[in-house]
Amino acid sequence: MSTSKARLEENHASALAQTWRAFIASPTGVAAGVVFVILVALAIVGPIVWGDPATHLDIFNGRRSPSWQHLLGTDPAGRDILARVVVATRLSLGMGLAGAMISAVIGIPIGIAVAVAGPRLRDVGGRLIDLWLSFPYLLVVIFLSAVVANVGTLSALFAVGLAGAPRLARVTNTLATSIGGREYILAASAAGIGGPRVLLRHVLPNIAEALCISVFGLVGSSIIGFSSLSFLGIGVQPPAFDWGQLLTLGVQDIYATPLAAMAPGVMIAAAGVASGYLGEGLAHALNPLLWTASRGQARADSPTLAGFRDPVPDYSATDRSAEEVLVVDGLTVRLPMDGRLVPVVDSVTFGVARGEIVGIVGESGSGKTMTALAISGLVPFTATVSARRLELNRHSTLSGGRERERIFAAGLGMIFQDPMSSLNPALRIGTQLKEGARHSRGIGSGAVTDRAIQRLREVHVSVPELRLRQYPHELSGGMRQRVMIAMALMNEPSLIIADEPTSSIDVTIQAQIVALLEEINRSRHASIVLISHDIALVSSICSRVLVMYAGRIVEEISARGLAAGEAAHPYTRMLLSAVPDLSRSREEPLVNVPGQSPDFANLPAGCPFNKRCPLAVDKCSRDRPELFPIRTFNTRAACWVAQDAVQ
Amino acid sequence: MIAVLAVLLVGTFVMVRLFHADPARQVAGPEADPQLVAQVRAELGLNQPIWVQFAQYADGVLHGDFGSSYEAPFAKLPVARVIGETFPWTAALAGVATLMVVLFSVPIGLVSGILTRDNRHRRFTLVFTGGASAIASIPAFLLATFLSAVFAVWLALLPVGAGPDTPVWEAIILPATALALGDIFILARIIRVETLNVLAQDYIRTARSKRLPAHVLYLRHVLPNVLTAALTLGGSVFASLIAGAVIVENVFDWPGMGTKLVSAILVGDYPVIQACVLILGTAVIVINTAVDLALGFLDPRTLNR
Repeated sequence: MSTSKARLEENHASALAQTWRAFIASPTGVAAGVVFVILVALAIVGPIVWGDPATHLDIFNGRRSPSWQHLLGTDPAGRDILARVVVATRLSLGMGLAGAMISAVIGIPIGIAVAVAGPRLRDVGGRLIDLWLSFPYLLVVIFLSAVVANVGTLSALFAVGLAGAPRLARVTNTLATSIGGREYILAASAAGIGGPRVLLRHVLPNIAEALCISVFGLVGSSIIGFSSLSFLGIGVQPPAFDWGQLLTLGVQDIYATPLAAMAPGVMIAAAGVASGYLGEGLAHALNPLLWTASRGQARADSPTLAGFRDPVPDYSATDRSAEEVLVVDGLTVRLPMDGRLVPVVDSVTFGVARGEIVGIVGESGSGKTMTALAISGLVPFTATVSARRLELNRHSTLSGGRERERIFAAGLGMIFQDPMSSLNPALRIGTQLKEGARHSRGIGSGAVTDRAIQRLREVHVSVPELRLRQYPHELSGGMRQRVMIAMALMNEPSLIIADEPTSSIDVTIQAQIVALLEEINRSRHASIVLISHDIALVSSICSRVLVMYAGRIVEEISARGLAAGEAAHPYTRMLLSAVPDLSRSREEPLVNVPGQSPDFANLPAGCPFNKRCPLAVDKCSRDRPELFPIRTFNTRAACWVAQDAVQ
Repeated sequence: MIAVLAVLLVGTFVMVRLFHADPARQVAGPEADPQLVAQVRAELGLNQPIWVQFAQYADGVLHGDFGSSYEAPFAKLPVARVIGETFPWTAALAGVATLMVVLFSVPIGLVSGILTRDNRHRRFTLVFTGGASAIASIPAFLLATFLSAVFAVWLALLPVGAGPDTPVWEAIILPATALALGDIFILARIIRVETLNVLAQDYIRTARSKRLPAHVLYLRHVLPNVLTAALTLGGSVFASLIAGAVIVENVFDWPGMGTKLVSAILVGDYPVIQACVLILGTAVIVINTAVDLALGFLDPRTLNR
């Protein structure tokens, strides 16, 4: 018992140290802390040192401009403004702290009471707290002091304290509720420990730290609330004075001595801003995960990867016909990782003939999507793309601003994975369908509507006229993906890139979408690059399949070769064996591709697959294999073992 | 919303009764003889049971009758007239400030979001978020003081407050700016972050794949989604304008409800206090409801439910 308790305390101490380190790391938090400490020091020594000049009347030296004797000048009664502002620190800061304490004393019990109450009371209580919170803090402060209507320090303090209470009640309630469902609380309840004891022994200690910080976060608001009341003349009354009251006097005299208004204003702002940042910094340090939800930083695709190589010599795309819709030669995409540029797509070379369906397969993080984005000019800003050739309909798309956009708009349609997130929720289907043709091809609005309806018919969407007026959330998942396909067809592209078009769709609809893609390929003679992790799906409709691993093509094989079991690369074979089929007994476990998908930042030397490969030989961890025709098969593979078997 | 208004109505009544044992003595004056106090009490209806008083109060409020101000007890100055005189000034101030908030925060937030997308211009991000949060955390009455010190006193460009011979449009600039400035930056910050969020969405990639011109991409695909999110997070700033207005009015001697409320508190004129609290509280509720409605209007997903 005692040892476990000691360990708990030790853990607690190290958690505190960690919090402290995290706090020290934030410059604004530290700066705010320094300002706050200075203010507290002024509050303590201020009245002792400057108490006399702050109250010493000298009517013959009123409204003096700044001088060495009076750095900020004097007020109408001849008192030193700087001294008064410094002395006022004690009252302002003290009242801010006291206000926050009152809020804590009122708010925290309310929050806990609501959290442990029965379901109905909890609901009503929560609503009342929210209602109270929906009124602006400063307005509540003024309202409360208005109804008390007793002008003075104490009633102002009461107003500030009461106005801040719902904030703490809300925080306490949220914290207590979140912790109430945890295992150890449930365990304590199961052990027969009653409600109040669970509360005191288990809930409160666990939320205490977060609560203290919330109370501290309220101090800034309290200081400002209290100063506001004094400023309005309904807080501190003469002869006592705080910043708010000094500010009022200063504003009344603003034309004669503007500094008399500025100085207390600066102090209120400094105290408010510093305690705000300090509270934020402390909260941040206490729970980094909660506060740094690093939203907005998400990348379109974030493969992780590495090993830096120059493009390898060209070995393909030379013997293909001139009817190539897409030419990709030595495509390399690099992303910054750990301070260096890491290739996540490495020397990818292939072509797509008119009317051909080419599949790209691989695990997630193999570089498939980044390849698609590079081909379509949509890579993230931080990525750098290089290639010997990158051509769409025989126009280079490696660079070129508006001209390149025109080539893409005319020749390329894109279908993305999740039709729910890939359609804009705020815009009608019609708008989203039409705008591409309208803006990038300059087709008139009547013609473009006709075309949109026609395309929706083509992808078998019922009542297309109605669909144009609907929003994405009004359609089913399968219907949305059909809309995505219709959208890709709007400009009659010669190439469609479909990135996992069926992965996020209901299984029963997947086959229909695949059939639709095939139908479009036949009727429109459009080429398709189909990207998927599902090798069975890809081999069912593609004429050729490219297998990617760690950003490189490791095997290029005809669909016929794949069907005939001629895959040469061990990785391709593993992907194939991971596909469940009916011939296998249900008692047998499903085969997974063993090992982890590659970490691009730390690729092994030699063949990137060697760590997971059951056939690896010495050479595999030394030299990197290139794609090599395996003559007995309809395939080319980047594998030493397969090549040696041929020779 | 009706329920909230009812709570507000009961709240103002109870709070005032709680803290003021004998308003009649206050009206009649501390040295008045007991007979006069009793007469005033009867006149004010204070000798009736409390629920009758509340019924009368509630009935009066519903008919726009807030009783008489205590300021000049025997002149029977109706509170409704006091409110009628001051309300338009507060409404004008808050209205202009709201307009400024909307007109400035959206472009500032959107443009800075677009500028800093994908971690571009990191230094700008640092300066913007630092500066914006500093301005945003200074309360409106301090901004009012600083602004009047700079523009009215040092530069002598604009008047402080509404005097009889300054045109209203000129007098409103400083108070409205002081009121709006903080909220402009609070919202601009939220809008910048939401712009970054929206730009990272899949549907923006889809829109880019359609090769749309930049203005279509940002105004049609980004802006509506940003506004929905920003209003959800930052809609409360509009209600907080009311709180700011009450205080800022006092800096500039603006003849609105805020100034009236404070002077009423100072003399204990509580029919006026009651009415001001009720009207301003209702304004907050109306604004919050309007924000909710705007949200529903902006987001098609909530419309059909």
